[in-house]
Amino acid sequence: MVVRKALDTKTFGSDQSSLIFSNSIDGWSDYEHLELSFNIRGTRTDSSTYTDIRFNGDTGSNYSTRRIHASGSNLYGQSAASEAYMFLNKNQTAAGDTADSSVYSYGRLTIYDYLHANKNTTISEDWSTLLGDLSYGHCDRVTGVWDNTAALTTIQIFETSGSYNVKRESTVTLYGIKSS
Amino acid sequence: MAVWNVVNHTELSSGNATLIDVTSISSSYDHLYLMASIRSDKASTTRTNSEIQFNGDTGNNYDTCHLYSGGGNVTPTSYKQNGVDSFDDIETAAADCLADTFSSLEMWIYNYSNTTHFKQCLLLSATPDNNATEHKGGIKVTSGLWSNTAAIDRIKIFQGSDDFVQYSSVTIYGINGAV
Repeated sequence: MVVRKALDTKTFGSDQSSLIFSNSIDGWSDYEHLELSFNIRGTRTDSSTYTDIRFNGDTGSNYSTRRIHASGSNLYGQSAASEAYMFLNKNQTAAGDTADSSVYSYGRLTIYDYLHANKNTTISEDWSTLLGDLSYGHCDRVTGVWDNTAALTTIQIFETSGSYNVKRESTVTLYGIKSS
Repeated sequence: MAVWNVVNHTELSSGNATLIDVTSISSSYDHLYLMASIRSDKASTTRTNSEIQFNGDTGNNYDTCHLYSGGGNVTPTSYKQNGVDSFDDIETAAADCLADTFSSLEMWIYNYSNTTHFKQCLLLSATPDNNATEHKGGIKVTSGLWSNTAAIDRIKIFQGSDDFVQYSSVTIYGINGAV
């Protein structure tokens, strides 16, 4: 029995506005938890951008997060309640202001009980960006909840801070984690 | 040889004081990894604490160092607990937290069957909530030390006087390294 399995890896062959993992993936319904591993960069040219997530296409104000954030000499906690997607203006992501164009941000996102009919979907996340000239970095530990007990059918990943795209060669892998 | 193996999975079918008390854990893995999704029935608060003990040890043999944020725009705090009787202060959603919302817990227990070293742990616990007020939810990064060289064969997750609610769940994984 394979307890932890890579279900799908998506590598951006070109700049794209978003990507979606859906329940059409073979084995989607066979796990207790999901995990996403990000290696991602945005196309914004004048600054960094943000990587955000929606579940099941829900555009309602149903996403809340809390985080411990460190960037340079800054260290603070932050909360956001009832937003239209997960991680609004968080998950700072390498983009055009990065001195080295080969720098991609890293994230590990765990999605708990994504099929459970009696639990809201909760997440925990580690997110890391170190800019290529080493002048500035970001490090986050995040928790969040999607106020909905529906089984997950889609996970949409996209960039905000305007109409920016996910840069080509960004990679996201979806893992399934079993409990039996 | 599988790298990840399920040692135990428990989901409460009804409320219960002790979420799990797993005994006779095999020593055949390199490390243990625990994932939990937990909520307390403690009234009049959005969050409370859970505790963990190894091998039924109720002595003052546990030390922790916590990095904590309640989520407000303030500097996170750190504090330590030396010589206490459990790994305490694990973030746990309670009765006033957003309905149907459970805290998350990850715990790594390194070299748990080594009989020469004390046992080092890393705990990542969090209470999400839709109330952005400071301390209504919380995030903790915790290092833990159990000052005992015995192989860990028992893990207990419990609260001081409150119950875990239905659907709270814990999975313990055994992790193998290379042969």
